[in-house]
Amino acid sequence: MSTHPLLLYLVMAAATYLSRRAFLRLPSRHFSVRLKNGLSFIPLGIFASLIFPSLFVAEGQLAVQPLFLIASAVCLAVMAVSRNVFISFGVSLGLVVLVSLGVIPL
Amino acid sequence: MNTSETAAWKQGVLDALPITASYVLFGAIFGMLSGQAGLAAWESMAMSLFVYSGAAQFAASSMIAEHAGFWAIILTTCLLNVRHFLMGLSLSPYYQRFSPAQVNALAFLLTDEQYAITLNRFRRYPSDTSYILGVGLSLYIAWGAGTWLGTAAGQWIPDPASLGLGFSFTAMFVALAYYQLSSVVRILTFLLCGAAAVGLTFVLPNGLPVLVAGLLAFAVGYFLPAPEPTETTQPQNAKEVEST
Repeated sequence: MSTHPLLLYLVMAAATYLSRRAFLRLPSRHFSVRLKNGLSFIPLGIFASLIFPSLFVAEGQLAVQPLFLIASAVCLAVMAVSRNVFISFGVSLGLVVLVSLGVIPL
Repeated sequence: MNTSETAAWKQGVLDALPITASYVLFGAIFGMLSGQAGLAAWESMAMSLFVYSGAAQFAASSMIAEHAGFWAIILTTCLLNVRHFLMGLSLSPYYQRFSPAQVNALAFLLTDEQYAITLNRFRRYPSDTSYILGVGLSLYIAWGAGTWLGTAAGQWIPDPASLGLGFSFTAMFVALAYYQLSSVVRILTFLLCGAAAVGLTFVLPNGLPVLVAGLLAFAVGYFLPAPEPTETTQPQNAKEVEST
């Protein structure tokens, strides 16, 4: 690649920034009740698409990852009981780390 | 900065703490891998400080190692970034109260994790710039510091896969998604979008499945017969605000 690296990083930065800024503040007149309801559902799609592939895709193949599935279920269960993101995050990640280190057998 | 702004800023830093630690680790991994791909330390740092997008940076450093062309790298960056369109759109109601200059500045700090943490906060509290800055700057500094660590001491960084630390982002997303699963329709939409995202992973370039799943969820919400107006409505008085 002959282009100066700094130019590449600046164009990458501009592309990334513009995608972040584009729809971040639309005029409020555009928000009907139906549109607001649609917008309230977007996080479901985004969260699902950030979570599910890490549970069901490994090395480009469809795969069930039991440890991650169990840890996710534990995370949701702890959230249901504690309503505390820190505790749920810590317990579920701690479970994965302990199993990965062989401290807890699976 | 008044007392409530300081409190919101501190709460943002605190809420971001688990992910701040993960950002340091994964920033360090980026610094190490980009060095192996042939980037100088200043180049890795410049990329982290200017671009500030893990997905785009990992892809770009790998493509640079393979001598990919300038526009191929830019196109890949754009494809990976399309998910930000929907994230911005879903945050838009909460950013109405900010000035254009504030939105312009805060936009730079929007990442998947910052999105998840701030959205969770705005369910219960009015949106405020102090909180967003607390979260966003913590993560930005962590990413930059991690990258620097990776370029300086890459050989001592633990392999996150062998420790299971790759699960840290998923754990945070699962915990924060819990609050979104407030009705049967929303749970079914979540499962439908998850299945679609897994299927699309095999046929679409990285980054696009998030966009399609987000649009699918939007369509379900938009065409539902009975709108649920509560999620994007900001709490207007203290009685609606729960403690964390």
